[in-house]
Amino acid sequence: MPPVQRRALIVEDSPTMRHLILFALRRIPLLAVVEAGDGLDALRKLASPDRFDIILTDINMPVMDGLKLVHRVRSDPELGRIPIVIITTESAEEDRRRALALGASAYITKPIQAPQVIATVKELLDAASP
Amino acid sequence: MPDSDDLLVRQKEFVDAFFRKGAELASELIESNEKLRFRVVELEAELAAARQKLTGFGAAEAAARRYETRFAEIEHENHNLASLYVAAYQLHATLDVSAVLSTIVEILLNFVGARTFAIYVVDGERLVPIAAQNLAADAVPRPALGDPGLGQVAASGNAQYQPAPGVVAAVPMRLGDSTVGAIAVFELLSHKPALDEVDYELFNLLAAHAATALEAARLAAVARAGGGATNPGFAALASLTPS
Repeated sequence: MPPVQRRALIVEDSPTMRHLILFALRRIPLLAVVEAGDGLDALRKLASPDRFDIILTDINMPVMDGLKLVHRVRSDPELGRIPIVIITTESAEEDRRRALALGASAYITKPIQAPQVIATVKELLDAASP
Repeated sequence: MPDSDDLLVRQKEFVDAFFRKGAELASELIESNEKLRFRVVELEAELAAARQKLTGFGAAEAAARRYETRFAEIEHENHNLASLYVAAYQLHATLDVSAVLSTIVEILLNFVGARTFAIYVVDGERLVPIAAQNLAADAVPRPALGDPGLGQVAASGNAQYQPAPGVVAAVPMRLGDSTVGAIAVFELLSHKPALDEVDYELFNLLAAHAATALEAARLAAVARAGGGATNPGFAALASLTPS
């Protein structure tokens, strides 16, 4: 079977963080990355005809935060099955539980370690592969 | 009734047959013993070969483990270098004072994992806070140059770690030989127990590049203002209040 190009969406208001996550994801072969500055921007990009295979999102963002984005994605029959990774400075167990209860697939705390991000994304992409 | 000669003949025949059978049995036993001995030798050779293979597998396994460890180290190093590159790139990606300041805040918050911190500029003999995270404006320390801890760091131009109780790191922002500001980290995020190796490198980078980026942005603001204002760049800095 020929290798399949996959697409990731990074949702993060900090350009510095986006840049660092992008650097990490570049180490995954055949993964195209699109960036969004907040939840609403992400929904606009998710509405495009090109489907996404994974979403990585911050929680605290202007306009629409990451938890609302998770809720909106999970409520959408077209997008509902996309794996979502939360990347945040919030480390309290309560925050983690809330995000996972809303349907997040994984939860990573900042400061991030690229190997952890890469391993998590690979694992979720592999699990979602047919 | 058989006579005694007949009995003797039959007895001899029996004894002959008995010894013949015994000899046959002994011969069979010797033969089977030989076969067993040969098999033992074969098995010993197989065992030795298997042991050798196992040693090979063990060596291969140990080598794989070494490569795995080395790969993890390289990935970690790679991540550290990427963090430094991204931090430096973003610091110099803008000529807007508040954007540079936001980048410094993001580096401290997201890369170092600092929870409570303040960024200062040197104003005469004092350190004036221009941004703060998770600190009310009136709670931000305002030391004079030379005061123990941050004041001393700004006066000497040398970073100090845990220079005073409640201060995790105090880092000068240097422009050439002079210190134009300082960064004080008071608390790390709750899930970050201590500073990592890369954090010291990030502080070194901030010490060297943050002031340059801020100064470049300040000069750009002066240039944009066409020199009309006496010092609009510093005015831009001064207008940033601790958040």
